[in-house]
Amino acid sequence: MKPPAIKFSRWAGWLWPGRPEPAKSWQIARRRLAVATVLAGMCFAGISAQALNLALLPNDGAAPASTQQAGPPRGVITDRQGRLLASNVPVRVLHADPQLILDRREVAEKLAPLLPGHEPADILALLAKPTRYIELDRKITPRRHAEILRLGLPGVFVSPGTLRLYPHGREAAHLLGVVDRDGLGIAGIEKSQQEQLASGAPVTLSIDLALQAILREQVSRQIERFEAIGGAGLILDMKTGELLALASLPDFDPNHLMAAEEKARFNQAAKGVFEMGSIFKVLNTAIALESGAARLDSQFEVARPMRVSRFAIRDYHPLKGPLSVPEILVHSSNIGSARMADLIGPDTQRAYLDRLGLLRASALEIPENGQPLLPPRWGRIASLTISYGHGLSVSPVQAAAAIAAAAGDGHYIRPTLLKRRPQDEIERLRIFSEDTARAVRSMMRLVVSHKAGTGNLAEVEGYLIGGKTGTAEKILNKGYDRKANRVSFVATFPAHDPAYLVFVMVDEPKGQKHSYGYATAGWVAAPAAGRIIRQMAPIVGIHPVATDQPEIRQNLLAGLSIDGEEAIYAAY
Amino acid sequence: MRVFVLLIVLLSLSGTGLYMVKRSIDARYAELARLRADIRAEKDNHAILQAEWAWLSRPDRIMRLSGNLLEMTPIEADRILPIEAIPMRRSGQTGKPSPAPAPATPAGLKKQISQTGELP
Repeated sequence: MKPPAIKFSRWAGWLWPGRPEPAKSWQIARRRLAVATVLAGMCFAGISAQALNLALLPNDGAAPASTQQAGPPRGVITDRQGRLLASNVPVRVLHADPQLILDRREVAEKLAPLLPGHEPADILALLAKPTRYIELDRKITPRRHAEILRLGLPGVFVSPGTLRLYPHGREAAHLLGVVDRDGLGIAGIEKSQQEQLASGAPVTLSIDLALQAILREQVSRQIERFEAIGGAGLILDMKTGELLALASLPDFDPNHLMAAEEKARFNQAAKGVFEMGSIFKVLNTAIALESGAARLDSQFEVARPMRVSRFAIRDYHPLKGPLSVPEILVHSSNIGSARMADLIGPDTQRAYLDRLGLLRASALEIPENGQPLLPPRWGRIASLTISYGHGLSVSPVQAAAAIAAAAGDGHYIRPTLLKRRPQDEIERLRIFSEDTARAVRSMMRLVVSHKAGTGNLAEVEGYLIGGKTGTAEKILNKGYDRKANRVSFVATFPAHDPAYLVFVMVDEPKGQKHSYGYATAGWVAAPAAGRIIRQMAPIVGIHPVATDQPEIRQNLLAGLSIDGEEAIYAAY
Repeated sequence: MRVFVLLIVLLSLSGTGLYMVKRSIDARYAELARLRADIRAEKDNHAILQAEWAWLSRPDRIMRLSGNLLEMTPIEADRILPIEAIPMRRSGQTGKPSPAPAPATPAGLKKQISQTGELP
């Protein structure tokens, strides 16, 4: 083997011969020229290739960054008339990267005057976090933006973002819910419809904003007038099961969630379960008539408290007995209702209440559906107390849907928060016969129209309103607190052909001078329901009726008598 | 040699053509990007305006304004009556409408119409 040095020297001799010979120098020069030409050619070829490459291949960086966005914007939420309830607005997000900041103290001191509600110390503490992204403010105005740019702080950026905005603030706040920082629904419709909203599709609710505002206004007015601690209400379209309004007070502004108290964020209308009190007598009456346990003219003794083992069932006012079924409802007799329930029996009662959706959490399209509280043992005593609304706690939404079945045309329709489309088939479950339903709505009308009825103050001239009051003592330390009541009123209208159900509940009202010291459902909740109906009737297109209209006679029972006199449905 | 020259001319022509097409595509991409940015800005403005409209037309504000400035109150039942209840003007008669048989109307209005023959 030859050493490599010899090889090198041989190749070197080709271009740089050791001893140049004058005869060969011309030949050497040509060789050198050729090599130089090839090298230069390669350089030019490379440059041309790169130039072609740049000119012909598409360049990805051409589009400005602002046209690229991650996914479609979150879908909007509208009410049934298309009014905007939740939307997105572009905002400027002020954020900082501590690793790029030269002097944190300087940044904090310069930014603090431009950020309302921030002290330099707060910002300094934020900037000390071991992360590369610190959000300082989500709502920078264009003027602020310019001022911040003028400060020329490295490591401080303003970039475009979106803000979930609820233009109507407190209105319907509970059922809309909220989204977290990443735009993910964490409550209400925002959570339950997360998939649809995230894909950019809008969600249309069954809610009517105008009715929602009326309901909220009237319930909050009663809370103020009676120094109550809270309240709830709903308006239900009895023909479709759509909830037209759902309010819970106190409420909160979803645009300023951090300022909301825990109690205000609780949805009493759907999540809260309560002993509903006497409004359950509507269901008890309907079940008694439907199961054959009682007829309209059956008489029940109510003169003395009903004693069952160590319990005594009493009436709010002692009544002279015996009472017929309509009289029991009009006077709201606990004893009469319990005697009716005794004839119905616990098993039949339970079966009916189950079919009315009262024993399972309602299936509204929000995560906040209250689980009803059943009695530990559904025996005789439980069945007697449930007949007048104690011993079984349900949510206002559940109670409203069940009463709508009894007072409407006998069908149970699952309540919904989403607007039904015309092609949607409504699932109707027949629970009560047409005859039972007619009797129940006639009696509910008498609760309002009869002078002895507990719901007189719900009467509104021109509209036939039916209803039932409920005054339930609140549970306090395993017993009942006689002073703290939860009062409610359930109204249906028009009473002869119920289309809408209005439910009003007020928590712990206190007797006032203007109510002669009373704080019962008839004084607190019934007038609110009447005012709601008076305001909503023109909006939903229900016209005033005259008492001599034939369909009133057809749809209400004739010849019911209360306290020995024939009852009349309209006195005006 | 002639073929070679022709080939070079053809090549440079097609190269130039290709380059011009490429440039025009680039220009269109830029135009597209600009339009997209415009659309986005318009959508943003639209969203802001819609939110502002919702904010300005919120029921409690309208209620307050209509109460304070227009002295409007909820409609009472006696302000509403079916169209048949309105008396028709008889042909040939001028000026004075005559009372027509009014079907079911709320009591108050009905009385008023039958007494005066006019809507209040």
